[in-house]
Order: sequence, then C-alpha cells, then structure tokens
Amino acid sequence: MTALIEVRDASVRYLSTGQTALRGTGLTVGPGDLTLVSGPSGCGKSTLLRLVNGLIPHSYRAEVTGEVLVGGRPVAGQTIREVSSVVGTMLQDPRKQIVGTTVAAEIAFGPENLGLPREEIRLRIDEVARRVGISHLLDRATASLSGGELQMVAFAGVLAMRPKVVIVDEPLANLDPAASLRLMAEIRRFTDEGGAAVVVEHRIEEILPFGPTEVLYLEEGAPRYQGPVEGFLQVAPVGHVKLPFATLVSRAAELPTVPMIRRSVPETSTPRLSYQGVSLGYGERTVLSDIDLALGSCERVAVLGPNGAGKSTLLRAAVTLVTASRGEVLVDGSPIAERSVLSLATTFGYVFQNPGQALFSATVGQELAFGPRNLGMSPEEIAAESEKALRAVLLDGEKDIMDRPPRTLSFGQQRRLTVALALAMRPRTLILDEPTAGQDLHTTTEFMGHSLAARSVESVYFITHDVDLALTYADRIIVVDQGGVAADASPAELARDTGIWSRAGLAATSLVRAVRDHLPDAGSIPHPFDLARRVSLLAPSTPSPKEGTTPS
Amino acid sequence: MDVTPRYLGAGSFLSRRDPRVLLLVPVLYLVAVAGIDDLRAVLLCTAVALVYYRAAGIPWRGVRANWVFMLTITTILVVVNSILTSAETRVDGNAEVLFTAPITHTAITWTTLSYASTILVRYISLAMVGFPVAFNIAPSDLGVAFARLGLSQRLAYGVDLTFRFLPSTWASLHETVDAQRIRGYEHSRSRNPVKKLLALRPVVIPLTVNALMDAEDTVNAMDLRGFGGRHRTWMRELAFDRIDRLILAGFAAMAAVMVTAKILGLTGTVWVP
Repeated sequence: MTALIEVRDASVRYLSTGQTALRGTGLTVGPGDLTLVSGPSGCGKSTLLRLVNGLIPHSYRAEVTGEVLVGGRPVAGQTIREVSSVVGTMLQDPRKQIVGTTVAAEIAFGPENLGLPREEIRLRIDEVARRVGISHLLDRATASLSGGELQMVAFAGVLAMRPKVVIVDEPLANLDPAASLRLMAEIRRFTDEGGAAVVVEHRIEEILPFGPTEVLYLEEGAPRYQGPVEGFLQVAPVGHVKLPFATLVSRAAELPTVPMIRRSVPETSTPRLSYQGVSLGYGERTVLSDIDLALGSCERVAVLGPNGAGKSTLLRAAVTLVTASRGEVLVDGSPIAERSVLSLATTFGYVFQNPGQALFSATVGQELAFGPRNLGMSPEEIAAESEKALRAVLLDGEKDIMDRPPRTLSFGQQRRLTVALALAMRPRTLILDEPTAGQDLHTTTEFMGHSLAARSVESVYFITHDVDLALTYADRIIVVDQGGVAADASPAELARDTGIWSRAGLAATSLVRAVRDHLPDAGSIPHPFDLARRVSLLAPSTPSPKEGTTPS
Repeated sequence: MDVTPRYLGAGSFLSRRDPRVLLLVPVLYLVAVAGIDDLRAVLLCTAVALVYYRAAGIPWRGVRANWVFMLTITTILVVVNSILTSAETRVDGNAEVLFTAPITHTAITWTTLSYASTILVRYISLAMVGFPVAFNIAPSDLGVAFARLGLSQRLAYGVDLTFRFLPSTWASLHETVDAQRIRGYEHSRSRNPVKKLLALRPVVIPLTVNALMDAEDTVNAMDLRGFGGRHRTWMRELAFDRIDRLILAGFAAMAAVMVTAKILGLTGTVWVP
C-alpha cells in the first residue's frame, strides 16, 4: 500500500536565519496510522509539520535535502493547494485558523476554495458537523465560541476538505482535559475509518489512551527515537517528557533528583486576598457569583477549571483588572477600592499567559526598568532590582542579556523574563496565568522552579488547566466551574474527591490515581518523581517493551 | 465594549435585498447630492433617503448613540466651517447681514445660513443611506457582495476577515493595556502630541507585533486550506430580484436627474428664501 506521507532522510535549513532546524529525519504515515511526534520546544517539530504540509518550501524559504513525498508525489512539485487535498492541518491555536464569521462559513471555507459546487459544500458542512457533534453550532458566530468549541470547529473545517491525513499541532495546549479527550477521540475515529493522523504533543500521557501506532521523538532537530510506544516509554528522557506515573515507577532508578519545593507555613495572619460575597464579570455578563474565599499571604494556590470557567477573572480582581459588581475584595485586610493599580503592583506581580503582551522595549534592560520607573525608583535602585530579578529567573547568565532585544529570546526565556518584569517591582505575591500552557516538561519544571523559588515572593497563585501541575506545585487547589467555586482543598484531598474528576472539565490523570492510592488523605504531595521512587519500592517489575530505533 | 459587527435590521425590507443594492445605493446617492448648493433640491433627495432609511427597520435604541455622535461631529464641522469662519461659505457681498459671529466677527447672512443648512442636511441624508450598510448587511455577506461587484477574491475575503478579527483584535488591545497597566502604564497627560504618541509605545508595539505574528499564522492556515486559487465558490448565492433592480434604477435615475440639473446650472446656486 502506498504511504500517504513519506519523509526520507530530510534536513531543513532556513535561509532567513541560516539555522538547520531538522536533520536526517524520516517518517512514513499510512492509512490507519496515528503517529505521535514529540520533543522539547525548538526540537524541529514545527519544521517537520511544515515539511509535510507544503509550507516548506512554498511559504518558508529553506534548503531541503532528502525526499518528501505526499500522496506518492514530491511536495516541491505540488502546490500547497494540491498538498492540502491530501494533508489537512490544524494549528495549535484555533483562533488563528478560524476565518469564517459563522461556524457554517468556517466549515465551508476549504471546500469553497476548492471551487466545489454549492450543493456539494452544503452536504459536506452537514456531514462533518454531524460527525464531530457541532450541528447545533452551525449558525453561531465563531467569535462567541469557547476554546473547546473552537477546536472542534477548526477540526470540522479541516475534515470538510476530505484530507487523507490530518496533522495536528499541540491539540491539548489550550484545552481543558474534558475538551482534550473529545478532540482526541475524534482524531482516533478518523484514523479508525481509514484516515491517518500525525499529532505533535508534549502531553504524552493524554495521547497514550488513543493508541498511537508510532512515536517519533526529536531532539535538537534530529530523531532520538522512532518506534512503538512501549519502547519509547522505556527510553524517553524522564526529565523532559511527561510520562504516565506507572512508567515513572518502572524507571524510578533513572529519575533525576528534584529540588525541594518550599512549602507554605500555616499562617494566622490576615489573608493576602479575600473575596466576600463577590460577583465578577464583564459588563452585564456575570462570570462568577457569590465568591467567598481567602487566599493566604504565604500560600501556593492553584486555580483549576475548564476553559472559560472564570479562573483568570477570579485572580484579575486582585489587580482591579476586573472589578466586583457585588461584594467586596480585600487586599491585606483593606478594601481593594482604596488601592491604586500601581500600589497593587507592589503587592501582586501578575504574569500574563502570553509574554508578547508586555514586551515593547528595545532592550531587556529598558524592559525591566519600565515598571520600577513608574513606581518612582531611582536609576540605582532600578539597576539593582533588574539584576536581582534576572538572577532569580536564571537569565543573568545569558550573554549581554541587558542589551538584547527581548523578542530575540526564546519563548521559554521570554516567559521567564515576564516573571522578572514582575519581580523587579518587588511584589510579595506572584500571580501566574496559565504559566506552562504548550511548554514541555523541562521548561515547565524550570519555569515553576524559578517562580516558586524567588526569595522576595511570599506566595504564588497560579491559574492552570493542567491537573498534574496543580497537584505538584500547589498547597491548595481551588476548582472554579459553573460560575462559582466547585472545590477548595489540598492536593491530596482533591485527588480523593472522585466526584470532582467526572465534572468541572477535569479528568483524573495517572498521578491523581497514584496520589489516591499511595498517600494520606490530606496535605501537599511530594514531587511525582519522589512519589514514584517511593512507590517503586513496593511495585513488582514491569515486562520488557517492544523495541524501537534509538539513533546513537 | 462589544465591537462585534451589529446586524440590527434583520427581517426588514432592506435586509431582504441583495447586499450589493445596499452598497451601490450610497454611491448613487453621493453622485446625486454632491455639489448641490440649493437647499430645496437637497431636501427633495433627503425625503427619498428618509424613506430608504425607514425601510431598513433599524431600531432607534440600537443606533441612538451612533446618531448622536454623527450629528454632534457634523454640526460642529458645519458651524465651524460655514458659519464661524468663511471657509466654506458662499459670500454674497450685497446680502443683508443678519448678525456677526462672536470671536471671528464673520458676517452672517441668509445665504450663509442656507448654505450651512444645505451642507448639514446633505451629511445627514448621506448617513441615512449609509447606516444600512453597517447594520443591514450580515457580516458574512460583505465579502461575497464585494467579490460580486468585481473586487478581487483576496480583497473581498479581506473584508470578511476584517470583521472576523475585529473582536479578537479588540480583546488583544485590552489584554495589552491590562498587561501594561499593572506595570504602572498610564495614558500620557502631556499636551505635546509627540510625547503623547511616544507614550503609546507600550501598547502599540506589542499589539502590532502580535498582530503581525498572528497574521502570518492565519495566512498560512488559509493557504493550507487552498485559499488563493483562481476559481472560488462563494456559498452565499447573490441574485438581483425585480425589487432590487427597481431600487437601483430609481436611485440611478435620481442621480442622473440631479447631475443633469447641476450641469444645466439649476442647483448650483445657494437658495435664499
């Protein structure tokens, strides 16, 4: 049978930067295959996707060696339009992919471009909408859809072109667990019915239940492993890939030591942030109502919940980016209305999800100085605080860091820089909004480690839809759902609350089950690596995996 | 603030028309009223514009703020240009001076007032035929309407994309302002326009850079779905019916009559009662 995608010994060098992004990579995808491509940020995953969907060489100027065949024909000899009739592509962020003003218009976009007759397009719209369960959304404006709905609409838009292969770039990065499961189930169904899929994803554990036929693991632009899942689980670098807890247990001897996570001390002082009968929303739309909460001045709090539940809204009230329509928000015991945004900036350092929202200066030094200067600090103080903040996020070792344009830093470094920007204003509490969405495990561990270890910071509150991140780094987890607080408990207590995992857009991960099975009822939990080591002393050994190829 | 395009006239007589009618009527109307200085002729055209506007069925509550804004700006412009200064006034040296404008000491005559009224009524009537473009065309119909009027596929779809990305760009602007506010950013209170402009950098730069980066992804996504080929089907089928043709013919006739009248010099003089 002819392979749908055949990549043989391909290397790619971008002409704009001169950088070689991919070396000696091969990939064969046939009908029924579900191929998982993984690797740390910057490992060449996106370049591989661009190679098979035709963006390289048609949109990106690059030198390509080796062979890339789609539908049995060289990609270079086909137009992107021709390639798109075989390969459908889903971007990581569906908001950038969706161009139709309504759902029906969005699904129609591809078939319209193919010049199909209207009757045929109508049939395809109905067919794919029914297939992915969005028939009820067809007349809705795409601007009004939730993250999960957008992802399904984007998938329907790709399917409407009847591709033989879909390539999906980090489908789980912006989705809550329940929405992730729905999307992956649809992708699996597509391959079961004779299609093929190439899924790029860091969150390997969430993909495993859908039975990937092959794993390609890339590092620094070259394949490090290619073969069956079982083999991959045995050789995957444990500190870089999020693996199922059972795998961590079976490879306990290889797990790296992790720095102690400083835990909060029980406190009796005034809460840093309290909500008394608070309702929050935008204009006439109430997102959260009747919230009664008190977040301590020395606590690590994770706010968990499905997309659009109001996680960010809850914590944005701390810096008056959202104001209460009812009730009162107190900061250190005083009404927040008595504080200016600037004075709140020295209490709360709010770090937005996208670092690009903040970066505007010509150099890192100027960027760091912006906040402190607004606070009225002297140039000497600014220089001292900037250095301290860079040291806290381990960016001080970068060559000429102060003179570098912020946007030339890697995405991970930009995220760390945004924490430094907040730290330079000497906050006592850090608020991190989706701090690790779309990041690999290594970057996540580094980022959270730096953020939690900052000496001047007493407490950290973070928003996430990553269950394991909340369990690992928080002392307390607040679950927000359906306009209110659905749960407020310690990680161990929450893991045991079986009811919560079947609602609130959550799904119990293998770590949740391990915590439930092996830890006491209450309190914080150790790092998953430490817990795995502990459990491994009790667990029997696991059978040998199937072998894959591991280039030396 | 919601910047999603508002489709307010759903179900009305004009909303049932081919959207190209709503785009062409303002053009024909502009041709009709441009350069007419006779208030009586403009009032005649305005009567037609009023009937057209009423047929749009736009609820007053939905556009009250738009009308207040439009009338305020237009009135200020007309008063400043035609009454307070003589910038646009057809001065008749022999006309009786009714009063002198304060501060500028401009002599106000019946000619001045008639001319100012003509300009004001012309702008208001143009708004009447223009509002249905904004509120009676479904946003998803704009692209196809422009395409069927001869605009290239790319430009026509660009119109669609503008409406699609208006809400997300607005949200991104808010997000950027919020991100900078918590770093102490405030709008400049300086009166120096250069300083004011420079003070916008913390918002404008991230917004622009992010928009450009997002645009690259969107262009790639569109290419990957086959956009840009020579032949494209537009799902929305457009066809002029008899009423559409009659409306267009009526406005075309009005434009022809007014242009002829202007050429013959019948409407080129300011009317003084």
